[in-house]
This record gives sequence, C-alpha cells and structure tokens, in this order.
Amino acid sequence: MLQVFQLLVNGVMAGAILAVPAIGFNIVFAVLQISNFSIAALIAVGAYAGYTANVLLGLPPLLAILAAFLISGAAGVASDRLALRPLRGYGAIAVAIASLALNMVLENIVRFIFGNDVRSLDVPMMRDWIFEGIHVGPQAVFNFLVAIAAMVALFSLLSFTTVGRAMRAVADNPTLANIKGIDPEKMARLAVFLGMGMAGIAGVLLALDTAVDPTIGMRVVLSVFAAAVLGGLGSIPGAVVGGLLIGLAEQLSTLVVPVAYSSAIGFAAIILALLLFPRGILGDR
Amino acid sequence: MSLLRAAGISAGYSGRDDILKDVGIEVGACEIVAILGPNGAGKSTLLKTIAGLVTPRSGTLDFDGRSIAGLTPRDVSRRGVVFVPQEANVFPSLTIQENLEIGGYLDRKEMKARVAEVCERIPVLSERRRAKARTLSGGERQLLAMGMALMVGPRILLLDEPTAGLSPLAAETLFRMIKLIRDTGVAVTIVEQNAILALNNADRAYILVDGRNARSGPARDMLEDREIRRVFLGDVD
Repeated sequence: MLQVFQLLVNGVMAGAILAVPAIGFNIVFAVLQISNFSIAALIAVGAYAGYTANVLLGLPPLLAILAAFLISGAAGVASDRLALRPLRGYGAIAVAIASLALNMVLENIVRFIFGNDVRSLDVPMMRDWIFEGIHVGPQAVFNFLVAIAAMVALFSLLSFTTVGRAMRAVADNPTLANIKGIDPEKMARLAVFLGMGMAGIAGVLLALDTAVDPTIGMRVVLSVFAAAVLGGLGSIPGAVVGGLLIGLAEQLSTLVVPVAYSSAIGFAAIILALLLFPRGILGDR
Repeated sequence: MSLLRAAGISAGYSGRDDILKDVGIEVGACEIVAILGPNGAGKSTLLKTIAGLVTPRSGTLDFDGRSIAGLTPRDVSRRGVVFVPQEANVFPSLTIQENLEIGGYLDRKEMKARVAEVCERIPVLSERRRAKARTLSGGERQLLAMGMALMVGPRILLLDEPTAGLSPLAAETLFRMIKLIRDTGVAVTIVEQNAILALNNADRAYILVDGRNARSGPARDMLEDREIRRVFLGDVD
C-alpha cells in the first residue's frame, strides 16, 4: 500500500511538470489551430538556457527558469515566423509535419552549440523528506511548486486580463475578434511566445529533476502530447488534468509493467482518450 | 449628406466572379435602411464589403466623407462602422461580461460604466452576466451581439439577418431594440429575409437582385407597392 501512495505522490509531481508544456501545446493549438511538435526542441532550448543562466552565469534556479521562459518563448516566435507561419495557408497537417522538421533543426542547433554531453544544473543535493514512510525530495517539491505557479500565472493572465480575454476571443473566432479590433496575428505571436515559454520552463524543471542533454524534450514529448489530447486539444484546464492523469498512469503502471515500458502508457492513453472522449476530457471543439 | 455612401461597388470572393455588380446605397444619419432581396442576391456580401471583410474590386465606399474601401475590419470598426455577422457573432466560450468587454476592445476607457450602460439597455444581459455565451438562446445571443456592437459607441450598425432563426415574438423584440438604438443617434443598415417585418420598421430600403440594384425608396412606399410586394417580396395577396 505504501508503494501505491509513493507512486501517487511521484505521479502528481511528474504530472504537474508534464502539464506545463502540455498547456503550452494547447494554448498554441487553441489560438492557431495547429499542432506544433517543435515544442520538444523548445523544451531542450529552455533546459540549455537554464543551464547557461544557472551554471555559466551563476544565477539561482528561479532566475534560470525566467531566462528559459523568455528564451524559449522568443525562439518559438522566431522559428514559427520563419518556418511555420508561411505554411499556415496549406492546412494544419502541413504545419504539423513542418513542425516535426523544425524540431529536428532546432535540436541539432542545440547539439551544435552545446554538444551531446549530459550536464547538470548547479543545485545543492538535499536529503528526501520522509512522511509516514513516503519519500519526497525537496527538489521535486520545488519543481512542483514552480509548475503550479507557472500554471496559475498563465491561467490568471488568460482569465483576468484584457490581453488574455482577447487571446481567448481569437481562439473562439478570429474573424469576429478582428472585427472587434483585436489583431489575430499579434495574439497568435503572443500565444506562441507563452506556449513555448511554458515549454522552456518545463525544460528547466526536467533538467532539475534529471539532467540536461539535447534529447531532453524528445523523451517527454509523447507524454506531453498524450496529456494535451487526453485533456482536450486547445483546453488549458484539460492540459492540467491530462498532465496529472498521464503522470499518475505512468507511475502507477510500474506496479504491473517494468519501468522501461511506462512510456507506452502515453500511447495507450492517446488511443483510449480518442476512443472514449474524441474531444478529450475537457475539450469542446 | 449621407453618412455612408457606396457607389458602383463590384466585389466577390477571391478566385470567383463578382457577386456585387455596380451596387450603390446611401445611408443617412439616424436612419434605418433595409437591404432586401432573394437568396444569393449579394445582400450579406454588401455588408461584408462595407465592413472590410471583402475588398471591393471597383467603386467607392465613403463613410462620413472619407474612403473606407480597402481598410481592415479593425480599422473600419475604429471609424464607427460596426458589423454584426448573422452567425458566430459572439464568443461562445467567454461569459456575457467578457463578450461585452471584447466588444469594447477598441476603446477600453470607462469599460465598467459602458458595460453597465449596455446592460441597462438590454436587461437580459445584466441578469446573466456570468453565464457563458454558448448557453444563451438564439434571441439572447443576437441581443448580446447587438450589445457588443454598442460597446464602442458606433455611428452605424451593419446587421446581417439578425432575426434568422428567431420566433416572431423575439424578432419583434429585436426590431424594437433596433429602433431604440436608432433613436440614440445610431444609423442602422439591416439585411433581412423577413421583408415585411423589415419594411415595417425601416425608413428606406434597397432591393438587390442577382448582385444588382433592382429598386430603392422609402420603406412605406415599397410596402404599399403591389408590384414590389408580388415580384420582389413574394407576397401573393
């Protein structure tokens, strides 16, 4: 029983981190109606931006996370402008395929600059806290709290600010939004910036949890996509629910299948989600 | 002088033939002008062209003495020409309050006061401010769309078939609202399938057939013209 509780705790922690890029994926989908798979490389960009800020410049983890948000967001906007936006007129599938190619290009730019070595962020090693036999790492709690803070900040921006409402209006109906005076293209850029910025934050959180290498984003992108689909493509609350469910499923699956197979849970979740909830648990499109 | 003047307008959607062929209309200040005609006559395309959603291929389009031809929909709205589409005219996942605030996006000063003012004019919106727009009935949705348009203090409203799908009672209510709006100094141009209802409420009307001007004149005269009623309005009496 203790093992189950331990896996539940681990699952919630992992799920919260997965939810951050899943929100990023969904905010881009909601506003632009495209799946941008270059989010994997932008997780890596964020991880290396965090590494640069933390290890090379000596900044604390929170500032490294801020740097990762800004740099991944900016890289996301620039790469979208160069590689994806010109293809929007050719349909969502063309853009999705191009985003896979863009992902490879960005990942290899990261390799070219930083090499293939596995690196670590500069954070002190700390003993786990133990509550009734359940181990909780202080670093995992920090990562969990940062993930929650990032989600709350984005949710607040979308819910309580004029620009957030404008972005949701564009997601609902870009033509009507244009008539009402909102520039849909500007909102699209902002959505990409915020979405890929969230991917950057996730990059640092994953780096704090494990280590930094160019494939850091590729290792989680299927789980991120599964979280986005399971929760409902385009739904921000759905991405949170999807992230938590995938995190829990991946952890709890280790009770019955070897850890090496836990990533298959993401695939299974996508199939199950599409069979049971074609629009995702909280999707409305 | 006319507030809105369209002359010799030819327009259509990209890669297709002209839908509007040399069409002209004029709308004066504080006037309700109905655009009538059979399906496919180009009535909605005319409104979309004025609103900047369709670019005219020829002709002139002036509002308050200045050309608005070729402006973006945002810029047309900024001049005070506000288009209310027939469908998809509210943001379904936003609340009524949020829809009204987006309606006033172009001028965000004193937003609370203006939302309160619009809710006072359209009480049904006030009662359900926190409800998502997707939960509204067809009539309520049209009223919200109208309320959103009023948020920017328009000088002319372009309404595309606002009574489509509404019950006769809801349609009457909507037209009463339109007249009240007109009485506050806003001109209204309305495309309407229910020609008799439109002529009963409009000051003047234009009839389009196959993308061309067919008839125009005071609404009262058109209502009494047996030939117009028979040929253009489908009245068998």
